[in-house]
Amino acid sequence: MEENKTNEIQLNPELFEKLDDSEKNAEKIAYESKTYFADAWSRFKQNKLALVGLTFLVIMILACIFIPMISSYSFDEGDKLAKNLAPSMAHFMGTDKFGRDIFIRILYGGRISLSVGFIAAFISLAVGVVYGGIAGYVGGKVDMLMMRFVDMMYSIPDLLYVIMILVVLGSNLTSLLIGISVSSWMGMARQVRAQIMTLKEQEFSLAAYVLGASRTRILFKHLLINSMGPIIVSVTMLVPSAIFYEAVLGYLGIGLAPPQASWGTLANDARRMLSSAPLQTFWPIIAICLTMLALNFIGDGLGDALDPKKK
Amino acid sequence: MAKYITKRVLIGILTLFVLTTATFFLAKATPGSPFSAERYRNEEAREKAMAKYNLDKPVMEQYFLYLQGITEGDLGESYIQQGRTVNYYIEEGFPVTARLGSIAFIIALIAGIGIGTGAALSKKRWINNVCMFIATIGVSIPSFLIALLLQLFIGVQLGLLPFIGLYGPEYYIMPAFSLALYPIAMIARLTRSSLLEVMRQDYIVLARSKGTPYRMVVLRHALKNAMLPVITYAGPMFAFLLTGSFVVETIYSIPGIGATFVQCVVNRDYPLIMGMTIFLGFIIITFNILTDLISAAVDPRIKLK
Repeated sequence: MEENKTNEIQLNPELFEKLDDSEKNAEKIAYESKTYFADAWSRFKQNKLALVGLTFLVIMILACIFIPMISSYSFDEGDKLAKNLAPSMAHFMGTDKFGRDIFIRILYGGRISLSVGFIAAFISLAVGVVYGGIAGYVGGKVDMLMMRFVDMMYSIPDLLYVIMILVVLGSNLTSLLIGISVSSWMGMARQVRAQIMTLKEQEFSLAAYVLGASRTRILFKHLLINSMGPIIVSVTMLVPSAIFYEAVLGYLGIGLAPPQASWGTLANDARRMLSSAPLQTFWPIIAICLTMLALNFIGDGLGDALDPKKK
Repeated sequence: MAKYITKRVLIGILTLFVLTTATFFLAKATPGSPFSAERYRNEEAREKAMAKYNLDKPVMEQYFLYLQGITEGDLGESYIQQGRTVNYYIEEGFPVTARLGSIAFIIALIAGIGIGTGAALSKKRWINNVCMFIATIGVSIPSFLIALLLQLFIGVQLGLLPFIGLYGPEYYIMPAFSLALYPIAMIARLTRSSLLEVMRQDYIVLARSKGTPYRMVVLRHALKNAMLPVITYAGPMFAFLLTGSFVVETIYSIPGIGATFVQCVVNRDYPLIMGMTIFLGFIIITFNILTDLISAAVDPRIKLK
């Protein structure tokens, strides 16, 4: 009896007093809760090169959209009295052999080159994610067959596909997009498959299954969302390579047909003027170079930012 | 081992077969024929020409005849330059491309491994930075733009080097360098990361503690073991250099197979496009198989299945 008494808590009014605020907040989470992308953005901001790349790209896109709208020069009508002018105040980059303002033509070319880059990258993204997702999630024989097919496509030089498709479908924007996408979805498919293979073995995927989620839901809502980081990084790397393919084809004269112009076809046009007006070749090349560098920097920055383990 | 090789060769042949079939039917599906009625004065001449290329037969029969020709090593005959076979163009162009490609390959290996080693081992920070800068630029800017910029500045503006054709040793400098820059950067990156990994291993510490000179440790122990990723990369890369760059050859007007291919695409010369595609595919597939065999021979840890 007596032993029990010692264990009893002595209750007195002091124990029922309010805590003061300082003690109350001892376990408050002071760090504001951030979403995945807000967190990534704060890491991305610390990478100077990536920020420079992003700024450059945004300015380039805005310039390509808006400057041709307000400029007094047109991209396809030249001034016959002002052929092959050197850069001046009136013509920022000079004029070409038809007297057309090169600056405006570069911006018009940028519209096409950049759209080709982004659209082709998104088509490859869509195809690669679905294909790689299914191969990785279903596994077994299906995966074996699907990946052998990817291996086959991989072993043939990319430009061959693009050229074959352009030959068959004719030189226009649609066939260019199809060609570039056909040649670049395989890398994405392989990467997504590898991601899905590791993720599907993890507990959260099993938990979703136990809770009765359908296979499609698990694949799209759980597995693919969790492999977003590497996928976004690959997309930023696909854009410059698509711009590059377009430029190569344009330069070789098998890309877009005139009067449509892209950076590649502009370089090709200026090629004949190489010895008399070398600057005309320089502008489109430098536009491609800077854009590709900017996109590569952004890609590197995103790679670090979207992978929280890589701090 | 024998089983593995057989399997790889079979898959390779299957890939080539699919490639051949795809190019054949793609070419057939293309609208317009080089033997349209407008180009021939009389019907008899047109029919004669069609018969020569088996175009008067049903498509499936044409396909089997084409496959039969390939197994016998005959890739067909040009539509445009009649009388010239596809084999003739390959025999003319391939040695030129192969020579240029091999030079670029050697430059890439030496410079790439050198820069990579410098970046990994140098104690001086600026050497590190310069090496990594070259590696970043080389990966970001494609050979096509490097070739154009070199031609523009060194060839046209400064007039230091000839920039059209391949007529002597100095003509090789700019094209070979343009082709080599990307591989240099890739090899430098691979060498650097792999060498940093190897230098942390116990056997390097052991070699050092036995008193082996640093230079010997790097050359004999570290670099040798760090070369595996470089070999895996260098095999397919060599194949790409051998098949020629469409664009670098066009820029420098080099009569290799790359430029020939572009020319036949512009001319819509279907037998040439098909033949060249199959030939290029063949080279790439062969080199992929060879690379896997070499990596297995170099590294006993790799098991071929």
